[in-house]
Amino acid sequence: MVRLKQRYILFDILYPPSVESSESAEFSVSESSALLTLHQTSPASINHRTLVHAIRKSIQEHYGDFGAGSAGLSVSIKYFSNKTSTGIIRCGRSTFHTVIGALSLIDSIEGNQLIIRCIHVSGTIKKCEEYSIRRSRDLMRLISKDTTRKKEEYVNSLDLQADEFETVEPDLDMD
Amino acid sequence: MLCDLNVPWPCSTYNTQPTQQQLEVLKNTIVTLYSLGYTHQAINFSINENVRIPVGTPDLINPINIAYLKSELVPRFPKLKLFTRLTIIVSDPSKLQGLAKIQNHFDVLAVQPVNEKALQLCTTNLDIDLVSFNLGSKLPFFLKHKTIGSAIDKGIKFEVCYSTVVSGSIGYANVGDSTNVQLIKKNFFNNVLQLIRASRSKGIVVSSGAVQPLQARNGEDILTLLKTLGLDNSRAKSCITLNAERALISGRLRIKSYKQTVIAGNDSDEVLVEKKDPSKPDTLAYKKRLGDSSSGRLLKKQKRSKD
Repeated sequence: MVRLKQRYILFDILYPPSVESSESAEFSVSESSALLTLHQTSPASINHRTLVHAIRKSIQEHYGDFGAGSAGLSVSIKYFSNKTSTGIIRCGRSTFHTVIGALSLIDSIEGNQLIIRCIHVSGTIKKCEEYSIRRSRDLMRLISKDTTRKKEEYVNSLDLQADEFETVEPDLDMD
Repeated sequence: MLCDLNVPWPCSTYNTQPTQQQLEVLKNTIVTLYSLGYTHQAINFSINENVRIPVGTPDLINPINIAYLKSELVPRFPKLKLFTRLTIIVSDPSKLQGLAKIQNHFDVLAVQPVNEKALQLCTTNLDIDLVSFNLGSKLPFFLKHKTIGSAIDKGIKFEVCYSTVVSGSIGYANVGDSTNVQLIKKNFFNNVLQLIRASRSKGIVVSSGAVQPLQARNGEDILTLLKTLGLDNSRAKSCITLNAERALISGRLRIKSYKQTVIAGNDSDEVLVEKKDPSKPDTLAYKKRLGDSSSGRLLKKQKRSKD
């Protein structure tokens, strides 16, 4: 039997400082404040459903009916955490370029301005999780250069993420 | 190391100074790009060829307050390297006689030709590093492989600026309704396709052109987007690393070297490439690769045949 081949895309959502807001002056004060602003927690309006909707809409907009049929319908969100704004998308192996292209062209979901960045592409969801945990540790090391209240909140949420991953069941799609 | 050769300076004339808020947005954009991994960034000042450049007063030629930006940002972001770039929109290259006087004040020199004659003359006659096109509107001429190819052989790179396609609602605010936005995106894809075809995926530089932090994107993602358009897989990565770096080096060699090949002294002030071996002199960092020029390639070939 041949296994149905997939690709798992690990992505995170970045929140750039808006042009008008008063917080924008603080953004460039230090590396950790910039990272903390970018890696904010996501509002509740961003969830599995709205994300899939936004991705399919972007694919439809930029790749037309052909893209929406070949790439859009096979997209599903396997994991998304509002605390760390990180998630994993499953899509077809032959069309993952299209999905990443469409992800990079999204600029807002439900009125929130954001950048979606694809971090890692892998054939198994396990490697995506491992990579995500490793990356979060590096990020923590970067941020922990100075101690603030915000930082502690973030570190707590990262610990939560590691716990959550253990509960995600491995995906065994066999044909 | 990733390079972004186009972060626009908020003013496009010599008479205006950026407001405090514009500077703040510029700084935020630089920091956002830095967080995405771009360590080498060039601030772009873009003018029309008709604009009178104050050649008489050398201090005013470069309006970009790079010293201020560096003093504000570099202590906080130690790996950040900032450069300045001038882009001239050219329709008649014969008007650009004073280029020799200007070119020493900018790190990178680019032109944006608006017709075929300008493109041809700029790439053959002028000493420039980068050619950019207005990708949002339909190019009025056909990009020939011969013209583009000979320019790439000379070491000139061609720029793809992705802010045209990821602008978002704010970026398109003065464009009008959604059909115009769609037209801009269609033109972008068409022009990029033409550029990829004419250049055979060689010598392309991908840069952001982001005027606000929202327009910054992860370089790899944009390359994946361009790969779906037909950019060569194996040459994609060099669009944000090697090609951009070469454009920077050739620009800086113009200022700091003799005939763009040899540089003397130990100027550790603004080193482009991190020194690996401190015992060796800094000149290595600026060394031009043989493969960058046609005569260099001949030399390389000769050397190889001797062995």
